[in-house]
Amino acid sequence: MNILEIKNLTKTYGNKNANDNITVTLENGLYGLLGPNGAGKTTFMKQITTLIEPSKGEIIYNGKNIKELNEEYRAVLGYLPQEFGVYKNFSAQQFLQYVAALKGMNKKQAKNKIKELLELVGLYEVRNKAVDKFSGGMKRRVGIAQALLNDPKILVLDEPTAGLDPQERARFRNLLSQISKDKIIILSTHIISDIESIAKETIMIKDGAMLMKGNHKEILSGMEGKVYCIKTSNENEVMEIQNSYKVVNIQRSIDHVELRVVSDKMPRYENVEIIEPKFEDVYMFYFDLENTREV
Amino acid sequence: MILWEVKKLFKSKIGWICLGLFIFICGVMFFLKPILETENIYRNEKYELIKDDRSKEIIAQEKLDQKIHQIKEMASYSGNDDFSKTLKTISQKKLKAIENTKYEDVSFFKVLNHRISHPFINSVMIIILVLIFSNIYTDERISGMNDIILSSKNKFKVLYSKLGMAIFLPIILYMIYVSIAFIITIFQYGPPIHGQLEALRIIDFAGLLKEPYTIYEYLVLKISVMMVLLITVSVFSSLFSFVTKTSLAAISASALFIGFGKVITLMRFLPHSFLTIMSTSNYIDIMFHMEQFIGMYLGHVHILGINVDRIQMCNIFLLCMLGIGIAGCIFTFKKFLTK
Repeated sequence: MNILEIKNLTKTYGNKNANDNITVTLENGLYGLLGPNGAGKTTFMKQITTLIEPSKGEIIYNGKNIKELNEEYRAVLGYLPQEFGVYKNFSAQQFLQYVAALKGMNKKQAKNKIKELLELVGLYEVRNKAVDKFSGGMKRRVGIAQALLNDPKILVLDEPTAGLDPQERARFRNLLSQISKDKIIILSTHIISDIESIAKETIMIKDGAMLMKGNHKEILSGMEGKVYCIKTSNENEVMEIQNSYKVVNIQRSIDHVELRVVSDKMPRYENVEIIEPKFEDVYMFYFDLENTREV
Repeated sequence: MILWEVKKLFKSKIGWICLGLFIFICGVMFFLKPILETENIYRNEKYELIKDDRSKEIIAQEKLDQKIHQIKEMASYSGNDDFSKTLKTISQKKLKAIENTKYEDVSFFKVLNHRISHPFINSVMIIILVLIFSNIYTDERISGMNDIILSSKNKFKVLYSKLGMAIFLPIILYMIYVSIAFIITIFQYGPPIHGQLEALRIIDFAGLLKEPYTIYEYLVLKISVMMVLLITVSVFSSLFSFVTKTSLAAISASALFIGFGKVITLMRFLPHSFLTIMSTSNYIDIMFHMEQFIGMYLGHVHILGINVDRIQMCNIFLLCMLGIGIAGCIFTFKKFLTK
């Protein structure tokens, strides 16, 4: 069992808290990290991956501070950064060989693992082709393969599915689901469907602080009675609702318009009914563009 | 990891540009030739080129005699200042060490000496190193690999490999250059003979030579100083690459670093002793006037009440700069890259 305890994690830039007193304990399984751009997700992940040091607080892995574990901790770490690039003139195989050397793997062990991962991400046939010739999605798959190379116990993925087509995304989700049994996976994404079906728990971050953490049931239970369907045939009313409420979805039929709305209070319209909340309602309820901030 | 760094270098455009430049200077070297001891070519008052037609041996012997005469004059000079006294002692020491006043063929070493520290070669070598090492980490940033490196088990191995490369690549590159110069010079001027003779036979400022160096000793000294210079430039370029975000910023910082010492010499308000040191130990002057710096006696400087040999002080300064560069890189690895 792997346990990652994050205690009072705070990262300050100037007088801004990019992460503010985050305390959370993670065990084996996949954790979705949700929040708008600039909420502090990447800062949070960079601290877990030792790329930046916390201003306050600590991260404990299996009872030991990761700062003390140093190399030992990084040996069990897999990371796919948001802005992932590769050496253009390297082939996929060469690139993975280099990452294997970075991770301190021996040559034989690396050779087998590289073959296995290239097959897994569907790049084995093009393993000797320069990465420069790869599409964005293929490069992303190389990124996923490098993150898995050392069979990490803690896998941190920052927007891993950006640039992947729906088929690749589904395959990637299944892969993560399979491997999450014996490792902690932290996955940050804007694509809610990526974590909806596979995340053990979701951590929501807003303004650098942890808004909530829980499994889907727990998170959705907090939304009960806050999601409404408003039916109207009046276009002016549609405009008015859009201006007054957070509208998740607008569905037009021949004679009417159905608006999916999230709100603390029940909207005062004629045809309003409370409906079952979905995960994207949660996102819309807690986050909006105004909350996005630059850090 | 250092092999991976080399591999990355040769997979990049910069690597190929630098290789091209290196091949270019090796080719240019063919045509670099000083006026030999056996030649006497000069321009007269009307700026006409005059070539001495006497036999090579006579010209060479005359030049050597002139150098020895100059040293003898210095050895018998009766000045009372520190500079004159030291120069007198040095000259006497040099005269004692001269076993044979007959000219011997030292053309090979004269040309080799010229080729291993030619200002043009030095400049291109510096350009090569600045290009390579100003990009050594910025390339990782640009390709988005820096985060993967810094979160990996062997992050320090990678960073220290980069530093190791900044130390060893200039040595390797320069040694290859010197070896090529050695081979080409053999083909053009015959085998290296009489290297055990006095260095004053191959240099123009024989009177100011500090010790009775042999040609071998003098060349080793010159190569060593050149290496310290090249390593320092590489290490500082790497440092700028670690602390800046673009290769343009790193290259600009490296260029400023190289030129800064020369600029300082123009700041007349600074302490005289400091300006004296800087006027001989700035990288621009070393690069372009190496001949006037290596193994010479240029007087003393007074620092904190102590009288220190100026060239010795400059050598200490160069080594200190190298030390500061290496320490700066290590500090950056430990404190800056993961702040």
